[in-house]
Amino acid sequence: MGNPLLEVEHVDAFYGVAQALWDVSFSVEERKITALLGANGAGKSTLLKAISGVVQPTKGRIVYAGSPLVDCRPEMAASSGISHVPEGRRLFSGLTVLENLELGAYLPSVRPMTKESLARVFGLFPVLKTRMRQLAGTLSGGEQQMLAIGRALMARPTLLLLDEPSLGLAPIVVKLLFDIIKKLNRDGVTILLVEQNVRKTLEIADYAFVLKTGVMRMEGQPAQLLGDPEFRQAFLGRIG
Amino acid sequence: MHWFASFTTFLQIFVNGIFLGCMYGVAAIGLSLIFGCMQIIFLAQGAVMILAAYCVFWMVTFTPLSPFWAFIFIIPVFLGFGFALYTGLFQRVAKTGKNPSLLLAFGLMVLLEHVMAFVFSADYRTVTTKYASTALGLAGVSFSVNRVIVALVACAATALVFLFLKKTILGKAVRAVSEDMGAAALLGMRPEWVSAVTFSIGISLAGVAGVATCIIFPFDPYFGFIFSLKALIAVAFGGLGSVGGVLLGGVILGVLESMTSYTISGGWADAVAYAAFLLVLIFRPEGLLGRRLGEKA
Repeated sequence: MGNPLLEVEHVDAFYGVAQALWDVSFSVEERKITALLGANGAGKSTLLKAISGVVQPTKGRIVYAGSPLVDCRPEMAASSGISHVPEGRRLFSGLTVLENLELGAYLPSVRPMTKESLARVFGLFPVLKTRMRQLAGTLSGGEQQMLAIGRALMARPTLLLLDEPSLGLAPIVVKLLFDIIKKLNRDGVTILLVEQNVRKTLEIADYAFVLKTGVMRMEGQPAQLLGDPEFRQAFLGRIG
Repeated sequence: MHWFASFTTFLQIFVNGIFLGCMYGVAAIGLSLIFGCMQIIFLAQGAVMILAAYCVFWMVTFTPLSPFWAFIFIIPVFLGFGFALYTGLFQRVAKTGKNPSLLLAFGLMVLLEHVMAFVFSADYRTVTTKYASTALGLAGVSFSVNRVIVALVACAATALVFLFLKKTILGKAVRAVSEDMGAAALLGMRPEWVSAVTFSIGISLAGVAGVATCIIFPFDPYFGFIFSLKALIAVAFGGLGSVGGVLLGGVILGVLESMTSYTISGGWADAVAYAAFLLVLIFRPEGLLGRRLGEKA
């Protein structure tokens, strides 16, 4: 095992008034792709929100880069190097593609590098460059997801949280996105990937955790999980 | 009801309407900015305008300065006033939802009106400038110098806000927070700070509109409420989200009122304005100039 960049220890958290996470513990290794799998409503998004400070855990603690995130707010998580690409992308649809990206580099620590970051994002997603002056709301679904990831990369994150990036996208776009996620990881970004596309995710993940109705149920390397009958039954159906 | 005596008369009424509308427009831009960040109609906008009008009145009474100087000092003073109002009052209340914020705005309006009535008395006040009776003539239409200056200041204020929102990173953050506060926070923006900035700009625009108002109209402590309503109509005409659109919305309202006053009577001007407001809300709720939801840019 390498160094854990993020450790979640015995966390309880609520989604509104309903408890969504029960005593959840897991860790994310530095420079690895860690996947978080589970059905709809398993608490995956709530767990990401707890890490990025959108939701406050009611119990337990989250340790990031060796120090606990205490009373963490989203702005604080962002400035400590955690970029969260939320479910549904949450782009500023009335702003242009370029403005969305510029705001990704809003933090004073990364703002001076805006030009270089832009070049890097346009290198990864050339289509965004051609759409630069367009309003974000006019992009296709795949382009919007690229913009959401690009905007998060503008903050030069150490840890990138991706919440269902493949949702609602055509298979060819999903393949492209997963290739980019792999490439980002090779470039040194630690990735925590929440997905429902289990097969594709296990192809690129180094390690995976399975959340079921708010409780951490299974974990292992993709090969281990794929060899586990219970896992296969739950996620891949009989044929898989 | 009678029609225009001549084309020149028509032009004159039209120009008067534009000048009136510029003042509505500036107040309305402030209103729409505050609506963007707090999702409430800031009812106290008019009362804040009148507070600025009193500042000018006392400045002119106690100093030899021309009222036009007030445009320069009112902007920083009301930026500070807005910032204090937001951090002192609204920031705490905003967390509990928008209804308390709306009530607070209403309470602030009543408080300001009554404090001004108590301290400054309920008498009508007027501010005169040395250009009060000077007018420029062009093609048979006369332009009151006061109104020309006021309209120019209104356009300059609009242009500044437009540039701020489009060109600066903080301005872009204001637009982002207005669209999605949660997503903005994930990128490291502090919504409270951005909201405080937005609110302050809204209040300073109310200040500018107040200076403009007192140069042109006599006022009393309760004169502002009607301006809050007029600004609201201008926002509805222009559509939220576009600074130029809101100014144009104000101008449309001003022209409509001025035309109605001339062709029917002054008493009908408000009635026609409110009727137009209702029609716009029913048939084009996104504003005459606003983009329909989902429409491509």
